[in-house]
Amino acid sequence: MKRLEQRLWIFLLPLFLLSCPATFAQVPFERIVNADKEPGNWLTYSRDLQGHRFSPLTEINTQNVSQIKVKWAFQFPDDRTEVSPIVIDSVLYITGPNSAAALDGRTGRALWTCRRPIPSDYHSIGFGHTNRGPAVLDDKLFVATLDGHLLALDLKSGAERWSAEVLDYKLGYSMTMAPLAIDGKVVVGVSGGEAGIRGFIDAYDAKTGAQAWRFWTIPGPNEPGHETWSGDAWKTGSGATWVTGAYDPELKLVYWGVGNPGPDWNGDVRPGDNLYTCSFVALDAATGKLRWYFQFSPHDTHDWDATHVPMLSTRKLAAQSANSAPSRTETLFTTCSTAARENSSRASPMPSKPGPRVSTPKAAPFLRRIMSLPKKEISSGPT
Amino acid sequence: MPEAWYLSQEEIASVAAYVRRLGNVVPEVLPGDPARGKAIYARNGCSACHILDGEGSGYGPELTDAGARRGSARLRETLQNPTKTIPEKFLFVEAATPSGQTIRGIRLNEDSFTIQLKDQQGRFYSFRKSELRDLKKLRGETPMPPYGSVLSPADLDDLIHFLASQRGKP
Repeated sequence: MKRLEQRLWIFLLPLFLLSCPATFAQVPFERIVNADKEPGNWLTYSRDLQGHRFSPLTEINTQNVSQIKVKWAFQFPDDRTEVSPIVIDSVLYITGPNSAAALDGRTGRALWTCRRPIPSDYHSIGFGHTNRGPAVLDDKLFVATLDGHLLALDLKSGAERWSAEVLDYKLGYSMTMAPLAIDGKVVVGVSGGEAGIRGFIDAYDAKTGAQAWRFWTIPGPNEPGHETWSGDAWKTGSGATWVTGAYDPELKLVYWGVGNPGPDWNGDVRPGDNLYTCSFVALDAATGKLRWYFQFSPHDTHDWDATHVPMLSTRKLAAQSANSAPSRTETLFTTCSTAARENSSRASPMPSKPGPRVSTPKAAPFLRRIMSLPKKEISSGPT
Repeated sequence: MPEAWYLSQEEIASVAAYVRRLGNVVPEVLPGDPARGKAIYARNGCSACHILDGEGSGYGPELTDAGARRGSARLRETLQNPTKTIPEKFLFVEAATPSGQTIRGIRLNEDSFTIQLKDQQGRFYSFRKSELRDLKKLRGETPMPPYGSVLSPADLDDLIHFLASQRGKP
């Protein structure tokens, strides 16, 4: 009887394993690229890689928004969160400080939760304990923690698949932003602009957690732009990257905003333009190399972070009707990367002080139009 | 809670180490070869339902710290007869939907009005109980098959040694 039972299980086991396959890729990159085809889902921080943050859904509108009532509530035990949920087929993936959860969209019930203890010697300097959301790619959810870890969690169970140590929180660094998942990589930025850090943007292999590249937002010795700093000010010159960027899958460029120089209100200890603080940078997604930048506020002394969400759009700049440049840099900045590339042969020379400057001529046609705006609009302060 | 002013730093560290160890299984001297056990784990497709060190599927419990949570006797019993060691809150259910579909899965949540499941493919389901044609709670059942009659005693020792050595991430 035992032998018969043994044979039966040997026969049944492969059938069972076939019925319990390895986790399939729930959100391949192509799904994120084509996010517009899924109006009921929200697959990346800004809903699409271009940073539009626009939902085409119309059920809630200006006529009925005042009638919205609470259907359910879910709260992390922490004091606050500023999350943009990832929504996949009626499941909401949210984050809090060092925590994450998958919620049933219908009831708000937790399908799984995950929490990483915040070290007792961790301190947020210049901001509170918060988190702005996760990213998703294939079968993993990516979460940045206050104490500097990038976690890859199993989308279906919340189990940790890998953890990468991005930074040392004891040096003033932290992470609050939502990671940006691009083709095969996860890009993260850092907080700590008031804590004397040297900012950077990192990319990690989405499958293994291995670091793919790092872009320092403050150039080191012998790197272009280092001459815009004096003495050792570059070592603690800040340039945090605390808001999620955008991605152009065609050009394979990562766009990211860079925060204020430090110390922020007093520039006496950091003479120079302080590149690439208060700038907008375009990075090669494969290498992290700087392709071009635009500095809104050279030698900023007003905390004019440029950490807004970049919004990408494609249009022909040569057209007479093109007049889409927003007037307030702290609110919105639109870059026409494709058009800029195509029109690079019409490049204009680099502008001189005191206006914003461009590193390479590739973005010049669009930026030239920005710079032709009345100066008072270019230099508008934060709201 | 009173302040432990009367303890030295060394004594505080010792108490903390003791408390942190509570609930963790003390490592045992076991028969079998954990390296062979790792191969047996892979060969028998355990990763089709379990995550271990970040690899596998998250349908069943994660096994990255299985050895810290379970002693070898418990691991052996689970492998030989999984229905005997079903955790207290685990429940396998079968839901018949209004459209005639039958969903079998692990219960993730249940209240008076709704229930949420995860099936073997890792898909989530949320049902209003009043809308279901039937909801069977399969108490005493588990999707995990018994391996006692599939593996030889030596293979079982190897696999148990391998699982017992999984103490979690440092």
